[in-house]
Amino acid sequence: MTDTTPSHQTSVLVRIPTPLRRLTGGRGEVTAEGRTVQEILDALERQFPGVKERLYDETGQLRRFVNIYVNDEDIRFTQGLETTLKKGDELSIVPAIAGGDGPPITNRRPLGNHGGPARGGIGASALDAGGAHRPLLRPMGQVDGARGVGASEDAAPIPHGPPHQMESLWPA
Amino acid sequence: MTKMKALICRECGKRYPLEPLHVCEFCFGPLEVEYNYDAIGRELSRSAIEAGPKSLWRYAPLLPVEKEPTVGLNAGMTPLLHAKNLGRELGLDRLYIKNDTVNHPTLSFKDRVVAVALTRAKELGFDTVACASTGNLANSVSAHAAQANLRCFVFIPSDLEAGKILGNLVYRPTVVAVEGNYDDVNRLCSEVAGEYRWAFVNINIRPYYAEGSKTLAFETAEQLGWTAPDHVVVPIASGSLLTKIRKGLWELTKLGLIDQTPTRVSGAQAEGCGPVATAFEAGRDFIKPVTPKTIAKSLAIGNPADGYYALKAVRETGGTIAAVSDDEIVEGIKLLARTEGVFAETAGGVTTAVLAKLARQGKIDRRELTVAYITGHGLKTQEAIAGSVGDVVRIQPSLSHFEQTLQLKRDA
Repeated sequence: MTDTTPSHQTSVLVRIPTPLRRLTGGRGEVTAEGRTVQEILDALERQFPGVKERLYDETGQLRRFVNIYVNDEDIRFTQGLETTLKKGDELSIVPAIAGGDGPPITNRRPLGNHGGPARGGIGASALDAGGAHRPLLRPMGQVDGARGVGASEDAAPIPHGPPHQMESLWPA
Repeated sequence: MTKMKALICRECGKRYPLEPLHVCEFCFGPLEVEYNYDAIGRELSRSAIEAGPKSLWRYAPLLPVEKEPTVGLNAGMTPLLHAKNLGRELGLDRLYIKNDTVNHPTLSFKDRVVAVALTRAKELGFDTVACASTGNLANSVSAHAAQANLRCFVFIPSDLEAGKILGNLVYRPTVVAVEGNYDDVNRLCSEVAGEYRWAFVNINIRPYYAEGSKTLAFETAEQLGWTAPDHVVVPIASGSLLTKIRKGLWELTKLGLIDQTPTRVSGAQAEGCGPVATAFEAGRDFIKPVTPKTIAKSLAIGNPADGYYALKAVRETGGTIAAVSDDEIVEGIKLLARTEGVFAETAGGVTTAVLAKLARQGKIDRRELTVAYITGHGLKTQEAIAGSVGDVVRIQPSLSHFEQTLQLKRDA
Protein backbone atom coordinates (compact mmCIF):
# COMPACT_ATOMS: atom_id res chain seq x y z
CA MET A 1 0.00 0.00 0.00
CA THR A 2 1.02 3.54 -0.55
CA ASP A 3 0.00 6.89 0.76
CA THR A 4 -2.83 6.89 -1.72
CA THR A 5 -4.54 4.15 0.28
CA PRO A 6 -8.26 4.81 0.38
CA SER A 7 -8.86 6.94 3.41
CA HIS A 8 -11.34 4.57 4.97
CA GLN A 9 -8.51 2.16 5.56
CA THR A 10 -6.39 4.69 7.36
CA SER A 11 -4.53 3.05 10.19
CA VAL A 12 -3.23 5.36 12.87
CA LEU A 13 -1.27 5.05 16.05
CA VAL A 14 -3.32 5.70 19.16
CA ARG A 15 -1.65 6.61 22.45
CA ILE A 16 -3.52 5.18 25.40
CA PRO A 17 -3.33 6.98 28.76
CA THR A 18 -2.55 5.04 31.91
CA PRO A 19 -6.12 4.96 33.22
CA LEU A 20 -7.27 3.11 30.10
CA ARG A 21 -4.46 0.62 29.88
CA ARG A 22 -6.29 -1.90 31.97
CA LEU A 23 -8.56 -2.28 28.95
CA THR A 24 -5.75 -2.55 26.41
CA GLY A 25 -3.85 -5.26 28.16
CA GLY A 26 -1.39 -2.72 29.49
CA ARG A 27 -0.48 -1.40 26.06
CA GLY A 28 0.27 2.30 25.82
CA GLU A 29 0.17 2.38 22.02
CA VAL A 30 -2.23 0.57 19.74
CA THR A 31 -3.28 0.95 16.13
CA ALA A 32 -6.81 1.51 14.94
CA GLU A 33 -8.46 2.19 11.62
CA GLY A 34 -10.81 4.97 10.71
CA ARG A 35 -11.11 8.21 8.78
CA THR A 36 -12.20 10.41 11.65
CA VAL A 37 -11.61 10.62 15.36
CA GLN A 38 -15.08 9.24 15.87
CA GLU A 39 -14.35 6.25 13.70
CA ILE A 40 -11.05 5.60 15.42
CA LEU A 41 -12.76 5.61 18.79
CA ASP A 42 -15.43 3.26 17.47
CA ALA A 43 -12.69 0.96 16.22
CA LEU A 44 -10.98 1.11 19.59
CA GLU A 45 -14.21 0.07 21.25
CA ARG A 46 -14.42 -2.96 18.98
CA GLN A 47 -10.88 -3.96 19.87
CA PHE A 48 -11.13 -3.09 23.54
CA PRO A 49 -14.70 -3.17 24.72
CA GLY A 50 -15.38 -0.66 27.46
CA VAL A 51 -13.19 2.13 26.12
CA LYS A 52 -16.06 4.28 24.91
CA GLU A 53 -17.89 4.11 28.17
CA ARG A 54 -14.86 5.66 29.79
CA LEU A 55 -14.53 8.39 27.21
CA TYR A 56 -18.17 9.40 26.70
CA ASP A 57 -20.75 10.51 29.21
CA GLU A 58 -24.30 9.27 29.31
CA THR A 59 -25.39 11.90 26.79
CA GLY A 60 -22.89 10.72 24.23
CA GLN A 61 -20.53 13.66 24.63
CA LEU A 62 -16.85 13.27 25.31
CA ARG A 63 -16.36 13.56 29.05
CA ARG A 64 -15.27 16.90 30.39
CA PHE A 65 -11.81 15.72 31.41
CA VAL A 66 -10.94 13.85 28.23
CA ASN A 67 -8.64 15.64 25.81
CA ILE A 68 -7.97 14.21 22.37
CA TYR A 69 -5.16 15.31 20.12
CA VAL A 70 -4.48 14.50 16.49
CA ASN A 71 -0.75 14.80 16.19
CA ASP A 72 -0.21 17.85 18.38
CA GLU A 73 -3.53 19.57 17.80
CA ASP A 74 -6.36 19.53 20.35
CA ILE A 75 -9.40 18.41 18.36
CA ARG A 76 -11.43 21.23 19.88
CA PHE A 77 -9.34 23.52 17.69
CA THR A 78 -10.18 21.46 14.61
CA GLN A 79 -13.39 19.61 13.78
CA GLY A 80 -13.82 17.81 17.06
CA LEU A 81 -14.83 14.19 16.64
CA GLU A 82 -15.21 14.79 12.91
CA THR A 83 -11.54 15.72 12.56
CA THR A 84 -10.10 13.61 9.78
CA LEU A 85 -6.89 11.63 9.97
CA LYS A 86 -4.51 10.43 7.35
CA LYS A 87 -2.02 7.66 7.29
CA GLY A 88 0.82 8.21 9.71
CA ASP A 89 -1.16 10.49 11.97
CA GLU A 90 -1.16 9.90 15.68
CA LEU A 91 -4.10 10.21 17.98
CA SER A 92 -3.50 10.81 21.69
CA ILE A 93 -6.04 10.46 24.46
CA VAL A 94 -4.89 12.54 27.41
CA PRO A 95 -6.76 13.10 30.65
CA ALA A 96 -7.05 16.69 31.80
CA ILE A 97 -5.16 17.21 35.00
CA ALA A 98 -7.53 18.93 37.33
CA GLY A 99 -7.24 19.30 41.06
CA GLY A 100 -10.85 19.25 42.06
CA ASP A 101 -13.46 21.52 43.28
CA GLY A 102 -13.37 22.17 46.95
CA PRO A 103 -16.03 21.10 49.36
CA PRO A 104 -16.19 17.34 49.70
CA ILE A 105 -18.28 15.76 47.04
CA THR A 106 -20.83 14.18 49.31
CA ASN A 107 -21.61 17.50 50.88
CA ARG A 108 -22.33 19.17 47.60
CA ARG A 109 -25.44 21.26 47.71
CA PRO A 110 -26.98 23.55 45.19
CA LEU A 111 -25.88 27.15 45.32
CA GLY A 112 -25.45 28.47 48.76
CA ASN A 113 -22.65 30.12 50.61
CA HIS A 114 -19.74 27.77 50.40
CA GLY A 115 -21.67 25.09 48.69
CA GLY A 116 -21.20 23.01 51.80
CA PRO A 117 -23.49 22.19 54.63
CA ALA A 118 -24.85 24.80 56.93
CA ARG A 119 -22.47 25.56 59.71
CA GLY A 120 -22.83 22.77 62.12
CA GLY A 121 -19.30 22.00 62.75
CA ILE A 122 -17.54 18.79 62.54
CA GLY A 123 -20.17 16.26 63.28
CA ALA A 124 -20.97 15.07 59.83
CA SER A 125 -18.57 12.75 58.14
CA ALA A 126 -17.88 13.52 54.55
CA LEU A 127 -19.26 10.12 53.79
CA ASP A 128 -22.50 10.04 55.64
CA ALA A 129 -24.50 12.03 53.19
CA GLY A 130 -24.27 9.06 50.85
CA GLY A 131 -25.99 9.31 47.55
CA ALA A 132 -25.38 12.98 47.05
CA HIS A 133 -22.92 12.35 44.30
CA ARG A 134 -23.99 12.25 40.76
CA PRO A 135 -24.81 8.70 39.71
CA LEU A 136 -22.59 8.86 36.70
CA LEU A 137 -21.52 5.29 36.58
CA ARG A 138 -23.38 2.12 36.85
CA PRO A 139 -21.46 -0.83 38.18
CA MET A 140 -19.13 -1.97 35.48
CA GLY A 141 -18.93 -5.72 35.85
CA GLN A 142 -15.47 -7.10 35.60
CA VAL A 143 -13.69 -3.82 35.69
CA ASP A 144 -15.57 -2.62 38.73
CA GLY A 145 -13.45 -3.01 41.76
CA ALA A 146 -10.41 -3.53 39.65
CA ARG A 147 -9.23 -0.53 41.51
CA GLY A 148 -10.86 1.56 44.14
CA VAL A 149 -14.16 1.00 45.75
CA GLY A 150 -17.59 1.26 44.22
CA ALA A 151 -19.07 4.67 44.73
CA SER A 152 -22.17 3.20 46.21
CA GLU A 153 -20.34 1.28 48.87
CA ASP A 154 -20.45 3.75 51.62
CA ALA A 155 -17.19 4.15 53.44
CA ALA A 156 -15.82 0.83 52.39
CA PRO A 157 -12.33 0.45 53.80
CA ILE A 158 -9.41 1.36 51.67
CA PRO A 159 -6.39 -0.85 52.00
CA HIS A 160 -3.83 1.10 53.94
CA GLY A 161 -0.16 0.48 53.91
CA PRO A 162 2.93 1.40 52.02
CA PRO A 163 2.30 1.96 48.35
CA HIS A 164 4.51 -0.86 47.21
CA GLN A 165 2.06 -3.30 48.75
CA MET A 166 -0.69 -2.00 46.54
CA GLU A 167 -1.24 -2.86 42.97
CA SER A 168 0.28 -0.03 41.07
CA LEU A 169 -0.71 1.73 37.92
CA TRP A 170 2.84 2.68 37.15
CA PRO A 171 4.83 0.75 34.68
CA ALA A 172 7.87 -0.82 36.22
CA MET B 1 -7.92 7.01 62.50
CA THR B 2 -5.71 8.85 60.12
CA LYS B 3 -6.80 12.18 58.71
CA MET B 4 -6.79 11.03 55.08
CA LYS B 5 -9.33 8.40 54.17
CA ALA B 6 -8.87 7.90 50.45
CA LEU B 7 -8.64 9.60 47.12
CA ILE B 8 -12.12 10.18 45.79
CA CYS B 9 -13.24 11.04 42.29
CA ARG B 10 -14.71 14.48 42.19
CA GLU B 11 -17.09 13.48 39.43
CA CYS B 12 -18.36 9.99 40.21
CA GLY B 13 -17.36 9.44 43.82
CA LYS B 14 -15.28 6.33 43.18
CA ARG B 15 -12.61 5.86 45.83
CA TYR B 16 -8.95 4.96 45.39
CA PRO B 17 -6.04 4.26 47.72
CA LEU B 18 -3.83 7.17 48.79
CA GLU B 19 -1.32 6.59 46.01
CA PRO B 20 0.20 8.78 43.33
CA LEU B 21 -2.97 8.74 41.24
CA HIS B 22 -4.81 11.68 39.78
CA VAL B 23 -7.42 10.53 37.31
CA CYS B 24 -10.45 8.34 37.86
CA GLU B 25 -10.14 5.26 35.72
CA PHE B 26 -13.84 5.19 35.14
CA CYS B 27 -14.77 8.72 34.19
CA PHE B 28 -11.43 10.57 33.97
CA GLY B 29 -12.60 12.91 36.73
CA PRO B 30 -9.99 14.42 39.05
CA LEU B 31 -9.14 12.63 42.27
CA GLU B 32 -9.19 14.57 45.47
CA VAL B 33 -8.13 13.73 49.02
CA GLU B 34 -11.02 12.72 51.24
CA TYR B 35 -10.40 13.77 54.82
CA ASN B 36 -11.67 12.51 58.10
CA TYR B 37 -12.85 15.86 59.38
CA ASP B 38 -14.06 14.33 62.65
CA ALA B 39 -10.56 13.24 63.55
CA ILE B 40 -9.04 16.51 62.34
CA GLY B 41 -11.58 18.54 64.28
CA ARG B 42 -10.63 16.80 67.51
CA GLU B 43 -7.03 17.93 67.33
CA LEU B 44 -7.35 21.27 65.58
CA SER B 45 -8.10 24.54 67.35
CA ARG B 46 -7.17 28.16 66.89
CA SER B 47 -4.73 27.97 69.77
CA ALA B 48 -3.12 24.78 68.47
CA ILE B 49 -2.59 26.46 65.12
CA GLU B 50 -1.26 29.64 66.69
CA ALA B 51 1.24 27.60 68.69
CA GLY B 52 2.50 25.92 65.53
CA PRO B 53 5.48 26.76 63.34
CA LYS B 54 5.56 30.11 61.53
CA SER B 55 5.02 28.43 58.20
CA LEU B 56 2.19 26.78 56.34
CA TRP B 57 2.90 23.66 58.38
CA ARG B 58 0.95 25.16 61.27
CA TYR B 59 -2.03 23.85 59.29
CA ALA B 60 -0.54 20.38 58.84
CA PRO B 61 -3.67 18.61 60.12
CA LEU B 62 -5.47 19.95 57.04
CA LEU B 63 -2.71 19.03 54.60
CA PRO B 64 -2.43 15.67 52.83
CA VAL B 65 0.73 14.30 54.39
CA GLU B 66 0.94 11.46 56.87
CA LYS B 67 4.08 12.21 58.82
CA GLU B 68 6.17 15.20 59.83
CA PRO B 69 6.92 17.54 56.95
CA THR B 70 10.34 17.04 55.37
CA VAL B 71 10.44 19.54 52.52
CA GLY B 72 9.64 23.25 52.37
CA LEU B 73 9.67 23.82 56.10
CA ASN B 74 9.71 27.60 55.71
CA ALA B 75 7.06 28.09 53.07
CA GLY B 76 4.03 30.20 53.75
CA MET B 77 3.04 32.68 56.47
CA THR B 78 3.58 35.56 54.11
CA PRO B 79 2.39 39.05 55.05
CA LEU B 80 -1.20 40.16 54.74
CA LEU B 81 -0.93 43.88 54.03
CA HIS B 82 -3.66 46.36 54.75
CA ALA B 83 -3.42 48.15 51.42
CA LYS B 84 -4.54 51.59 52.50
CA ASN B 85 -2.95 53.52 49.68
CA LEU B 86 -4.22 51.27 46.95
CA GLY B 87 -7.60 51.06 48.67
CA ARG B 88 -7.82 54.85 48.74
CA GLU B 89 -7.01 55.03 45.07
CA LEU B 90 -9.58 52.37 44.16
CA GLY B 91 -12.28 53.49 46.60
CA LEU B 92 -12.08 50.35 48.73
CA ASP B 93 -12.09 50.93 52.48
CA ARG B 94 -10.95 47.49 53.57
CA LEU B 95 -8.52 46.19 50.99
CA TYR B 96 -5.81 43.68 51.83
CA ILE B 97 -2.99 42.20 49.78
CA LYS B 98 -1.84 38.67 50.50
CA ASN B 99 1.77 39.08 49.53
CA ASP B 100 3.15 35.81 48.25
CA THR B 101 5.87 37.62 46.33
CA VAL B 102 7.96 36.95 49.42
CA ASN B 103 7.32 33.27 49.84
CA HIS B 104 10.32 31.14 50.73
CA PRO B 105 12.42 30.12 48.91
CA THR B 106 11.42 31.07 45.35
CA LEU B 107 9.14 34.10 45.73
CA SER B 108 5.82 32.72 44.56
CA PHE B 109 2.83 30.87 45.96
CA LYS B 110 4.15 27.73 44.33
CA ASP B 111 6.44 27.28 47.33
CA ARG B 112 3.28 26.27 49.19
CA VAL B 113 2.11 23.55 46.85
CA VAL B 114 5.62 22.24 46.35
CA ALA B 115 6.29 21.98 50.09
CA VAL B 116 3.25 19.75 50.34
CA ALA B 117 3.86 17.86 47.10
CA LEU B 118 7.48 16.98 47.79
CA THR B 119 6.83 16.03 51.38
CA ARG B 120 4.15 13.69 50.08
CA ALA B 121 6.34 12.45 47.23
CA LYS B 122 9.01 11.45 49.74
CA GLU B 123 6.41 9.68 51.85
CA LEU B 124 5.40 7.74 48.76
CA GLY B 125 8.99 6.68 48.20
CA PHE B 126 9.91 8.70 45.12
CA ASP B 127 13.50 9.73 44.43
CA THR B 128 12.75 11.80 41.31
CA VAL B 129 10.43 14.77 41.03
CA ALA B 130 9.20 16.65 38.00
CA CYS B 131 6.66 19.19 36.87
CA ALA B 132 5.07 20.91 33.90
CA SER B 133 5.35 24.60 34.56
CA THR B 134 4.78 28.10 33.33
CA GLY B 135 7.84 29.07 35.37
CA ASN B 136 7.12 29.62 39.03
CA LEU B 137 6.37 26.00 39.74
CA ALA B 138 9.56 24.88 38.03
CA ASN B 139 11.54 27.38 40.12
CA SER B 140 10.05 26.03 43.28
CA VAL B 141 10.36 22.34 42.43
CA SER B 142 13.99 22.90 41.40
CA ALA B 143 14.89 24.68 44.62
CA HIS B 144 13.11 22.28 46.93
CA ALA B 145 14.48 19.25 45.08
CA ALA B 146 18.00 20.60 45.49
CA GLN B 147 17.52 21.00 49.21
CA ALA B 148 15.82 17.62 49.58
CA ASN B 149 18.40 15.75 47.47
CA LEU B 150 15.88 14.63 44.89
CA ARG B 151 16.55 14.11 41.20
CA CYS B 152 14.63 16.77 39.31
CA PHE B 153 13.25 17.33 35.81
CA VAL B 154 11.30 20.47 35.02
CA PHE B 155 9.44 21.03 31.77
CA ILE B 156 8.77 24.58 30.62
CA PRO B 157 7.67 26.33 27.44
CA SER B 158 10.80 27.44 25.59
CA ASP B 159 9.74 31.11 25.45
CA LEU B 160 9.73 31.72 29.21
CA GLU B 161 11.12 34.88 30.77
CA ALA B 162 14.90 34.85 31.28
CA GLY B 163 14.54 35.25 35.03
CA LYS B 164 12.41 32.17 35.31
CA ILE B 165 14.75 30.06 33.19
CA LEU B 166 17.76 31.19 35.18
CA GLY B 167 15.76 30.60 38.34
CA ASN B 168 15.61 26.95 37.40
CA LEU B 169 19.11 26.39 36.07
CA VAL B 170 20.83 27.71 39.16
CA TYR B 171 19.54 24.79 41.22
CA ARG B 172 20.91 22.29 38.66
CA PRO B 173 17.81 20.35 37.70
CA THR B 174 17.37 19.05 34.17
CA VAL B 175 15.45 21.87 32.50
CA VAL B 176 13.51 20.67 29.47
CA ALA B 177 12.41 23.61 27.33
CA VAL B 178 9.61 22.40 25.09
CA GLU B 179 8.99 24.06 21.74
CA GLY B 180 5.39 24.98 22.37
CA ASN B 181 3.11 26.63 24.88
CA TYR B 182 2.22 25.44 28.36
CA ASP B 183 -0.65 23.32 27.11
CA ASP B 184 1.80 21.46 24.89
CA VAL B 185 4.16 21.04 27.85
CA ASN B 186 1.35 19.81 30.04
CA ARG B 187 0.14 17.30 27.55
CA LEU B 188 3.66 16.00 26.93
CA CYS B 189 4.20 15.65 30.67
CA SER B 190 0.96 13.71 31.06
CA GLU B 191 2.35 11.22 28.60
CA VAL B 192 5.84 11.22 30.16
CA ALA B 193 4.27 10.66 33.57
CA GLY B 194 2.64 7.52 32.23
CA GLU B 195 6.00 6.05 31.36
CA TYR B 196 8.32 6.96 34.23
CA ARG B 197 7.98 6.41 37.91
CA TRP B 198 8.55 10.04 38.79
CA ALA B 199 6.61 12.26 41.12
CA PHE B 200 5.17 14.81 38.72
CA VAL B 201 3.96 17.24 41.31
CA ASN B 202 1.13 18.65 39.20
CA ILE B 203 0.22 15.39 37.52
CA ASN B 204 0.31 12.18 39.53
CA ILE B 205 0.88 14.03 42.81
CA ARG B 206 -1.72 16.65 41.98
CA PRO B 207 -4.37 15.58 44.47
CA TYR B 208 -1.85 16.28 47.25
CA TYR B 209 -0.04 19.18 45.61
CA ALA B 210 -3.15 21.24 44.90
CA GLU B 211 -4.15 21.12 48.56
CA GLY B 212 -1.17 23.30 49.45
CA SER B 213 -3.01 26.27 48.00
CA LYS B 214 -5.57 26.06 50.78
CA THR B 215 -2.98 27.52 53.11
CA LEU B 216 -3.45 30.89 51.42
CA ALA B 217 -7.02 30.86 52.71
CA PHE B 218 -6.04 29.54 56.15
CA GLU B 219 -3.44 32.25 56.63
CA THR B 220 -5.72 34.98 55.39
CA ALA B 221 -8.42 34.04 57.88
CA GLU B 222 -5.96 33.72 60.76
CA GLN B 223 -4.26 37.01 59.90
CA LEU B 224 -7.63 38.74 59.83
CA GLY B 225 -8.23 37.53 63.38
CA TRP B 226 -10.03 34.34 62.43
CA THR B 227 -12.42 35.97 60.03
CA ALA B 228 -13.10 35.16 56.42
CA PRO B 229 -12.91 38.00 53.91
CA ASP B 230 -16.09 39.19 52.23
CA HIS B 231 -14.50 39.03 48.82
CA VAL B 232 -11.33 37.51 47.38
CA VAL B 233 -9.76 38.25 44.00
CA VAL B 234 -7.63 35.40 42.70
CA PRO B 235 -5.70 34.95 39.46
CA ILE B 236 -6.81 32.03 37.30
CA ALA B 237 -4.32 29.90 35.40
CA SER B 238 -5.44 26.28 35.72
CA GLY B 239 -8.17 27.42 38.10
CA SER B 240 -6.89 25.28 40.94
CA LEU B 241 -5.72 28.12 43.19
CA LEU B 242 -9.12 29.76 43.15
CA THR B 243 -11.01 26.59 43.97
CA LYS B 244 -8.60 25.70 46.74
CA ILE B 245 -8.84 29.11 48.39
CA ARG B 246 -12.56 28.61 48.52
CA LYS B 247 -12.10 25.11 49.86
CA GLY B 248 -9.77 26.38 52.58
CA LEU B 249 -12.35 28.85 53.80
CA TRP B 250 -14.97 26.15 53.64
CA GLU B 251 -12.85 23.82 55.77
CA LEU B 252 -12.22 26.43 58.45
CA THR B 253 -15.95 27.03 58.60
CA LYS B 254 -16.74 23.35 58.79
CA LEU B 255 -14.28 22.90 61.63
CA GLY B 256 -15.77 25.83 63.51
CA LEU B 257 -12.55 27.88 63.36
CA ILE B 258 -14.27 30.81 61.66
CA ASP B 259 -17.86 31.90 61.40
CA GLN B 260 -19.53 31.18 58.16
CA THR B 261 -19.02 34.09 55.82
CA PRO B 262 -20.39 33.94 52.33
CA THR B 263 -17.08 34.94 50.79
CA ARG B 264 -17.43 36.01 47.18
CA VAL B 265 -14.74 34.48 45.03
CA SER B 266 -13.72 36.44 41.94
CA GLY B 267 -11.21 35.53 39.28
CA ALA B 268 -8.64 37.43 37.25
CA GLN B 269 -7.37 36.54 33.80
CA ALA B 270 -5.48 38.16 30.97
CA GLU B 271 -7.44 39.00 27.82
CA GLY B 272 -4.78 37.19 25.82
CA CYS B 273 -5.59 33.99 27.69
CA GLY B 274 -9.01 34.29 29.25
CA PRO B 275 -10.93 31.11 28.51
CA VAL B 276 -12.55 31.06 31.94
CA ALA B 277 -13.45 34.75 31.81
CA THR B 278 -14.94 34.21 28.35
CA ALA B 279 -17.06 31.29 29.55
CA PHE B 280 -18.20 33.31 32.55
CA GLU B 281 -19.17 36.22 30.37
CA ALA B 282 -21.03 33.96 27.96
CA GLY B 283 -22.86 32.11 30.70
CA ARG B 284 -21.38 28.81 29.54
CA ASP B 285 -20.27 26.03 31.86
CA PHE B 286 -17.71 24.57 29.51
CA ILE B 287 -14.35 26.08 28.72
CA LYS B 288 -13.33 26.51 25.13
CA PRO B 289 -9.55 26.23 24.99
CA VAL B 290 -7.61 29.13 23.52
CA THR B 291 -4.09 29.63 22.24
CA PRO B 292 -2.48 31.97 24.78
CA LYS B 293 -1.01 35.27 23.73
CA THR B 294 -0.25 37.42 26.76
CA ILE B 295 2.66 38.84 28.69
CA ALA B 296 1.24 37.11 31.77
CA LYS B 297 3.03 33.89 30.96
CA SER B 298 2.49 32.39 34.38
CA LEU B 299 -1.26 32.50 33.68
CA ALA B 300 -0.94 31.38 30.06
CA ILE B 301 -2.88 28.15 30.24
CA GLY B 302 -5.21 27.94 27.28
CA ASN B 303 -6.85 24.70 28.37
CA PRO B 304 -7.29 25.12 32.13
CA ALA B 305 -8.07 21.76 33.68
CA ASP B 306 -9.80 23.24 36.70
CA GLY B 307 -11.50 25.96 34.71
CA TYR B 308 -14.84 24.28 35.02
CA TYR B 309 -14.57 24.13 38.79
CA ALA B 310 -13.28 27.68 39.05
CA LEU B 311 -16.24 28.88 37.04
CA LYS B 312 -18.57 26.98 39.30
CA ALA B 313 -16.94 28.35 42.46
CA VAL B 314 -17.24 31.90 41.18
CA ARG B 315 -20.87 31.50 40.23
CA GLU B 316 -21.85 29.72 43.41
CA THR B 317 -20.33 32.41 45.58
CA GLY B 318 -21.68 35.39 43.68
CA GLY B 319 -18.27 36.45 42.45
CA THR B 320 -17.24 37.57 39.00
CA ILE B 321 -14.39 37.10 36.52
CA ALA B 322 -12.75 39.82 34.50
CA ALA B 323 -9.92 39.93 32.01
CA VAL B 324 -7.44 42.72 31.34
CA SER B 325 -5.16 43.66 28.45
CA ASP B 326 -1.39 43.52 28.45
CA ASP B 327 -1.25 47.30 28.84
CA GLU B 328 -3.54 47.10 31.86
CA ILE B 329 -1.34 44.35 33.31
CA VAL B 330 1.71 46.59 33.10
CA GLU B 331 -0.26 49.42 34.69
CA GLY B 332 -1.40 47.00 37.39
CA ILE B 333 2.17 46.08 38.25
CA LYS B 334 3.12 49.74 38.44
CA LEU B 335 0.04 50.67 40.45
CA LEU B 336 0.72 48.06 43.11
CA ALA B 337 4.37 49.04 43.32
CA ARG B 338 3.62 52.77 43.45
CA THR B 339 0.94 52.45 46.15
CA GLU B 340 2.00 49.56 48.33
CA GLY B 341 5.69 49.02 47.61
CA VAL B 342 5.07 45.53 46.31
CA PHE B 343 6.74 44.49 43.08
CA ALA B 344 4.59 41.78 41.53
CA GLU B 345 5.15 39.68 38.47
CA THR B 346 2.72 39.82 35.56
CA ALA B 347 0.16 37.60 37.30
CA GLY B 348 0.08 40.14 40.11
CA GLY B 349 -0.41 42.83 37.49
CA VAL B 350 -3.41 40.88 36.22
CA THR B 351 -4.87 40.60 39.71
CA THR B 352 -4.29 44.25 40.53
CA ALA B 353 -5.70 45.43 37.22
CA VAL B 354 -8.77 43.25 37.61
CA LEU B 355 -9.19 44.49 41.17
CA ALA B 356 -9.11 48.06 39.88
CA LYS B 357 -11.52 47.24 37.11
CA LEU B 358 -14.03 45.55 39.42
CA ALA B 359 -13.81 48.43 41.88
CA ARG B 360 -14.39 50.91 39.09
CA GLN B 361 -17.39 48.93 37.87
CA GLY B 362 -18.85 48.78 41.35
CA LYS B 363 -18.54 45.00 41.40
CA ILE B 364 -16.62 45.22 44.65
CA ASP B 365 -18.44 47.19 47.31
CA ARG B 366 -16.47 49.93 49.05
CA ARG B 367 -17.12 48.34 52.44
CA GLU B 368 -16.37 44.73 51.51
CA LEU B 369 -13.33 43.29 53.23
CA THR B 370 -11.45 42.34 50.09
CA VAL B 371 -8.27 40.32 49.76
CA ALA B 372 -6.30 40.26 46.52
CA TYR B 373 -3.82 37.42 46.06
CA ILE B 374 -0.47 38.55 44.68
CA THR B 375 1.25 35.33 43.80
CA GLY B 376 4.73 35.99 42.44
CA HIS B 377 7.64 38.44 42.50
CA GLY B 378 8.27 41.04 39.82
CA LEU B 379 11.99 40.37 39.55
CA LYS B 380 11.05 37.21 37.69
CA THR B 381 9.28 38.98 34.83
CA GLN B 382 11.29 42.15 34.35
CA GLU B 383 10.81 42.07 30.58
CA ALA B 384 7.16 42.95 31.04
CA ILE B 385 7.81 46.42 32.41
CA ALA B 386 11.22 47.23 30.98
CA GLY B 387 10.87 50.46 29.07
CA SER B 388 7.72 51.57 30.85
CA VAL B 389 9.03 52.51 34.28
CA GLY B 390 11.10 55.56 33.35
CA ASP B 391 14.84 55.81 33.56
CA VAL B 392 17.49 56.81 36.07
CA VAL B 393 18.73 60.35 36.42
CA ARG B 394 22.37 60.30 35.30
CA ILE B 395 24.76 62.79 36.87
CA GLN B 396 28.42 63.46 37.50
CA PRO B 397 29.53 62.79 41.08
CA SER B 398 29.30 66.40 42.17
CA LEU B 399 26.84 68.30 44.32
CA SER B 400 26.51 71.08 41.82
CA HIS B 401 25.73 68.74 38.98
CA PHE B 402 23.21 66.97 41.18
CA GLU B 403 21.39 70.19 42.00
CA GLN B 404 21.64 71.53 38.52
CA THR B 405 20.19 68.36 37.01
CA LEU B 406 17.38 67.84 39.48
CA GLN B 407 16.66 71.52 39.99
CA LEU B 408 16.06 70.94 43.67
CA LYS B 409 15.69 73.67 46.26
CA ARG B 410 17.92 73.18 49.29
CA ASP B 411 16.30 72.71 52.70
CA ALA B 412 16.64 75.85 54.76
